[in-house]
Amino acid sequence: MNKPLDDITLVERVSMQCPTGVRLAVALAGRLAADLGARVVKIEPAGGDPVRRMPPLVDGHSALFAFLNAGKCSMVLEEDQDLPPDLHADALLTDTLSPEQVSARVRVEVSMLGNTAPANAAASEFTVLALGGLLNLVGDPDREPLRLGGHQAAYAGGLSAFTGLMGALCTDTPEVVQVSLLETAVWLNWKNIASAAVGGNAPSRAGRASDWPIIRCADGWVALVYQDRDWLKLLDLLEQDPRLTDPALSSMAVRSARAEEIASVAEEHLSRLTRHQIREAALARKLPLGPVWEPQELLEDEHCLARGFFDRMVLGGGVTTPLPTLPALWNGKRHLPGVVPSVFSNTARQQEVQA
Amino acid sequence: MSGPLAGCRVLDLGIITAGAATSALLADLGAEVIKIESPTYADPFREWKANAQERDDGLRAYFRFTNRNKEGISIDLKQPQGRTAFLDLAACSNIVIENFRRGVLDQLGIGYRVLHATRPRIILASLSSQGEDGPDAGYVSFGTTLEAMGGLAWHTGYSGGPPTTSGRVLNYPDQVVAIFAAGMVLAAWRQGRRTGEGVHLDLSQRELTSFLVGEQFAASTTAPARAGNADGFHALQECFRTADGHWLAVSATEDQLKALPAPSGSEQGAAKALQSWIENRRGDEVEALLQARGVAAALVRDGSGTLADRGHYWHWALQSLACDAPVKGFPFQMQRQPLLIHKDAPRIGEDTAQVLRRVAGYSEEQIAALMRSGAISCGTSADANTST
Repeated sequence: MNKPLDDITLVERVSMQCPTGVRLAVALAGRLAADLGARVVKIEPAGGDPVRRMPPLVDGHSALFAFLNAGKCSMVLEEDQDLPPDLHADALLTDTLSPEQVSARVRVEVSMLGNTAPANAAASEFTVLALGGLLNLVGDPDREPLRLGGHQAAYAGGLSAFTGLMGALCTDTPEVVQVSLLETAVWLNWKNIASAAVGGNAPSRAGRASDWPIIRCADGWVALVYQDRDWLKLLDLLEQDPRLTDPALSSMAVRSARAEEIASVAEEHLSRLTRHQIREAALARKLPLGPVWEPQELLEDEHCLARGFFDRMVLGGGVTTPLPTLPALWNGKRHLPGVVPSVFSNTARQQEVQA
Repeated sequence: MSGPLAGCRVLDLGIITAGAATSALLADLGAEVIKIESPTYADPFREWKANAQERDDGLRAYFRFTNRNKEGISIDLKQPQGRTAFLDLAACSNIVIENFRRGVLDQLGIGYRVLHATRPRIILASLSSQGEDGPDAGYVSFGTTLEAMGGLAWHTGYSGGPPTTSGRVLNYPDQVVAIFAAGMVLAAWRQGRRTGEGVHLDLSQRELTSFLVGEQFAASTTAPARAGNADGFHALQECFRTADGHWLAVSATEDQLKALPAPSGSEQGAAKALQSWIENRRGDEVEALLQARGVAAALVRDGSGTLADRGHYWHWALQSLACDAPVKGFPFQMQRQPLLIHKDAPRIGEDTAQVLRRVAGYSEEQIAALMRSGAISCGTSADANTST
């Protein structure tokens, strides 16, 4: 099977002072393109991309770097060095601080806050979530707002960079794609923005009193998710508890106002069931309850195994670890990730790239 | 229409967010997107209110945000004639987007095999909760379900507290999948133009949710499952209360901490010192003071606060229609061929007759017969409504 981007060469190059969030976004976009068959040349300084030293580490090797850079080739160039003249790039993934050293038809520029923010405005993924209104939505109402786990601000920006890149590659004219982590974050938060734009109350985090809280079960946690039409099925699973058969609770608005009370009663019942039992019950009743799986459990999850979602990657020095594959199957087939590039093997790789 | 997808026709079977938002992004990139509803079933987003204060006049904000730039037709796919009309449109289209429950497309007799037989070059993008196959394929899920089952909830939460999700308003997995799916469809469209081949894309939202915490699946990491706002990169990252009751989000490196007004030996000491320095100052003042020292600091905005920054920190994510109504904008922008909003969202079946005529070449008699049988319905446009 020919891969969709096997005719494309992509250069990934950011400046030394590039913020980490932008670095991760650029790398994620490049990883997606590499999975689809693009030849992705990652330019690193002699000391290597700083992400190579970032957590999580497995026996000293960065799983973060491996996840974001599998399938690329690494080329060592310092900031003032030009690309080899015979390396033809169709597209460049970069930050907004790099000098325009690489000529390519498509240029994708990623920044934290866009190009109208003051040039020296400091920003992190965390402050991007604060500015975008996402932080305000997560956590308990009487405690500090919470970030989403992992690198969601950077990765969502990376998805934007990838999709913008694909859009530009569908044309045959020069194009500059502008991506800002904040702009993407605001776009993701459109329901909150819509709510503010039509007037009225802007939603805020509700913790355990939210419509779909996370509650305890026998061996962990479960997200108590159900729709209006699921209420009777949920009551059945909760053994028709008399505290919930109150006719007033047949109204969604009343349930929403008394969500915390419902959560506590549901918790009493679901505390007797394991997450696997809850999964079975949810499948049988078509209820959208969400057992909370740990990442390490998902590696052995029968659904993930059946779909071949994880692949082992070599991090370097003989260390291997399972990591997720591209979540897009083409006619039922997975595009498996390539090898994680080592920074020291660049001379050979350089020749290979030029060949 | 101009843009990278000029000349590309998309049949949009998406409802609520995931599928419909993917098609909306394709429309922004220049595709002709035809949203398909049924005389017996409308997109539930037509009824959802953004909040209790939303006025009851015309299109609802959620629906309008997700379906601007599309035409709207109404076909009953459960009726044989309706199905035939859909396949006649598919024969003249390039892409079909759907996010039904698994099995529904085949039950309707318009699964990938049928579409492929109708038009071999067609791209079918199936955005499902859990993927096309596997033991959980039939698991009914919403975004919160997928955050729980995909590993994101496990890593979100206060230190020592329970797993946490993005919640019903943000519904994170439904939003990110639209950007990802649009990118995959673009890659498939480009490949199709080179090879003449179509493809069925199987896009699992649960897998995407897991992919977006991909590095967390690495073996034997010793980091705690949930660490509140700490990220392992910054020496200190937390929200602090200000004197006027706001929360200030701060990310500081070790060097920055040492240079702060109230330095202290340990990280905990630094957090305490910073807390007491911040809690005696107004939010806007302390945000500016920290920014001036090069420290990433931002007051936590609610929706109204973020909206107030429009035109200052961000620009494209919200757009306005000619009538001034706000609609969803773009997650990125292109300089030469910019993403554009060119029309409001359609009323149900607003374009049924004109699309069947123009795209499938149906005669007035055929359209009238389909109307009589109830296989299609024709609505009126928003313009027609407002002018009467």
